[in-house]
Amino acid sequence: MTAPPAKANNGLDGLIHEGARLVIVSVLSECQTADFNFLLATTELTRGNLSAHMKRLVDAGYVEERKEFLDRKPHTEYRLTRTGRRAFRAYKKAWRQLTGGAA
Amino acid sequence: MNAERHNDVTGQDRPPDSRTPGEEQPRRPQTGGNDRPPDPRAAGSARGHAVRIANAASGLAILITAVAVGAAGALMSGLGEREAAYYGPAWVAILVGIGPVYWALFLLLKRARGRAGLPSVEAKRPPAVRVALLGLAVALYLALFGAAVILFGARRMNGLLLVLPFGVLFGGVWLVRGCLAREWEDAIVGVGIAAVSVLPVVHGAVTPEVWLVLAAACFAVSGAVKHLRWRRWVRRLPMGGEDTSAREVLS
Repeated sequence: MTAPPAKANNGLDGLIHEGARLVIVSVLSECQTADFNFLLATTELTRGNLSAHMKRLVDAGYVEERKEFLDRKPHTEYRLTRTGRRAFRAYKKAWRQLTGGAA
Repeated sequence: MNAERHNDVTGQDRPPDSRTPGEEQPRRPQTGGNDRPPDPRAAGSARGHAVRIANAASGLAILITAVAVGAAGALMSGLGEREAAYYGPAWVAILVGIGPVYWALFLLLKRARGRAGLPSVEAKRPPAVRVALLGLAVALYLALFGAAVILFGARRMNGLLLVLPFGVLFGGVWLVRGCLAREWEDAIVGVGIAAVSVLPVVHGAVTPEVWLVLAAACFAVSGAVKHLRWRRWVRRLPMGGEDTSAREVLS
């Protein structure tokens, strides 16, 4: 089920405005698709933490999830949805406005 | 039993609940882990790293496609000069075939990596508008190529007429792309293709087929460098290759 979008905080999307999720969304924004293991390696989060953050992003409709079994092994692939890309663009814009362009 | 003490199922003592009956315990928002403040630098660094690795994931597919294209060019060159009507369809088949061959290989490799428990990723595709413009440019190039074959004959198109402008433009695009992405193997491909395209002006014996072989060699080197980067990265990973996220939901 898609959860309502997170409340904005100073114009910043509350869902993306969290350390780990900002890293996840940043990585996904540069990929067409990425699987769980790739995100695990690039974000350097723990399995449980990454899994929980992904669930939040999927529930919000920012990330699309595709689950399958490959040789009886579970395999999960993620992609940023159009809503997610739009939200990330808006977040970056709001961040720039808030910080005057500073990183 | 002491009314001031409450035992939970583990038998451990807990302090008495100070809330009045019926009052709900305040719920911690589910954040999906420990919340921490955003660090744009860390996010930028992870994104840059992800881009390089995602591009490196296609190295082997680029390498194999380049070898296949180079082999096709060598075969055409080996067959010697033939009738003008032969060149148009043969070149169109090669140029149109590059895309599907690359994608089929890439998807096969991606699936095989997922099956082996290795990370699998697909780099971000260029926007649809850019793809459409590129397709239009290639179509225009092919139309010019066909017209030139009919009007002048295949061998007279060497050099300036066709290969040079296309090659220099194509090489320039790869050079800029490589420099912007700081993927120097792409920048070198750009310089290589531009140089190979100017070669017919200097050396008249360089035919379009030889150009194809040399351009494919540039891409093969780039693909090999990317693939080595991917392998080096994968070997450094500590993961065992199990995807617990899917297990939680599918079991």
